[in-house]
Amino acid sequence: MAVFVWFISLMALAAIAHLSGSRGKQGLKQQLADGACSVVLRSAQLAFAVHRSFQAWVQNSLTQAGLDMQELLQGDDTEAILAKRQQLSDLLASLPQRPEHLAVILPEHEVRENEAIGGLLVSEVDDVEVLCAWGLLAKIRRLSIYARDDSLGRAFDSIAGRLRNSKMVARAFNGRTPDICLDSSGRVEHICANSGSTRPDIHISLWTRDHGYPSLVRLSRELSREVQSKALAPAAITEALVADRLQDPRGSKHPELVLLLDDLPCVSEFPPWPLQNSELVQADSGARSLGDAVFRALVCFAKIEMRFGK
Amino acid sequence: MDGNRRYARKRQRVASSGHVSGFYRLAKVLEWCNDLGIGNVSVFAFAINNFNRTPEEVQTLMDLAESKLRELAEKSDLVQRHGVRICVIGNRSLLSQGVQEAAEFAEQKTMHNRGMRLNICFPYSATDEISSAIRKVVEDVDACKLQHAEIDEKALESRLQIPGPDLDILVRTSGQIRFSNYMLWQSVKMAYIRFVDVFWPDFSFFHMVCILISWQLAYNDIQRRKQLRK
Repeated sequence: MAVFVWFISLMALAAIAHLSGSRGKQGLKQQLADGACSVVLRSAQLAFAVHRSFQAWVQNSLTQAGLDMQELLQGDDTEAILAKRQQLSDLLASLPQRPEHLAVILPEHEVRENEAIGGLLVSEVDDVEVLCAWGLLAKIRRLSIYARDDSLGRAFDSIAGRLRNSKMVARAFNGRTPDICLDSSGRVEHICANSGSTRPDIHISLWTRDHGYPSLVRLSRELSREVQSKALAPAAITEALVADRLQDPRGSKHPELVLLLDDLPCVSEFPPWPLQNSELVQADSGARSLGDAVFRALVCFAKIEMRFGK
Repeated sequence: MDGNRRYARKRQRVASSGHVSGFYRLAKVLEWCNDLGIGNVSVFAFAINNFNRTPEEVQTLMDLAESKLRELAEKSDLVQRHGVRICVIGNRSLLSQGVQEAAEFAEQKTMHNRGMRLNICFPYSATDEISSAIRKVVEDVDACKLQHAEIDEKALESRLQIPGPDLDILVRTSGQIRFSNYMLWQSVKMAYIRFVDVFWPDFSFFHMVCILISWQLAYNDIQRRKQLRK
């Protein structure tokens, strides 16, 4: 029925479009056919143009980002680089929606050693540095980086040292030194702290498997103790209570976007509770660098319609 | 099973017709799963936060559930010939009396079946499931059915509404790329996740075969990762 209505509308448009022009003496059928072809072709051209425009926008942006990722955050601060960096920053700011909390899933150390993950990853320290830089560039206040084993936690001191002296991070923050809070399983370090600031420019958490299932086990034990000591009734253990106990003490929301940097579309025992309404994006196979993968994920997130429960 | 209403809107029909189309698609997909020898299938029929939809739509879904649960249990080929066992998973206290009775009926009618197990999640949320498991563990410790020191991941997992077997493949239709609070505990255990850009009533055998083949190709890597952890 919809096809029939569409066809009739198209024919009517074709008739109007064609008969309104002066085409000399042609048969009506011929004119209608010419008009229909004309409308179809123009519609297709318009659709293609819109598609290509968007694709061109993305491609130009990606090309720009691709170039910038190599030069802009790693190269010297020439005028051209500074201008491109500002363009990239403006592009990111123009995205209709950006996550406040981005989580990134990295493969475990043994998987990195044994499998080539699309050539995007270098080492834990390098990857955290790039992710931090992109987080600052995209004005993402909260960044959680997950690796199932504790490879990130074990590299905590190296990561903190790298971020403290990172030119890439400074370049991403308009040449200034950002205030970074880095935490991992109880360790917290303020890097390049600005004594006047009450809130870091970016908060980076290094998550492991321990933040998932084991945290739910710990909560169960804690609640069991409270019930045993009669401080709590079992019936009071509701979803709201569990959510309250699992909430980040700093009040951060759950990640809105989770970027999976792995060839396998599996989330590898990532903490289940925060994943409730996260958008999950696997790194695009066409991504040429880690920054490119982050950029594509942000563009993907920007287009998503939030339809929770509707 | 996402995309029923958008499927109906695309065809300029009312939302309820999309849900009916979704049910018929479910029946087809279950036949394919049964023919392929898949032993356990879980479907997300209604989320707890779907109660936020309009009262009319919620009522339509409840009426549909009540009639289709009975129809599945009494008349469907899957149950009669292939011995499918129906389990209704979720927080049933949120359902009306009629739907609760239909769910109870479907479960009782098929409880001795030994074929494919069909988990119909209605109304369900993963966070409700995990919270319930935590509460059950605490209650069991309080009733001396479990020692405090025995509270571990296995104890929690065995008290989930869908405790096992391990989830192999998670598919979400309609192009949305999030879990929407569905089987979170189960999905993060190395389930192969696929988001398919097709509305549920349009989900075809071709889509299913593509997913299964890509899972097969990734199977060895998944097993290798699981072995690494042991």
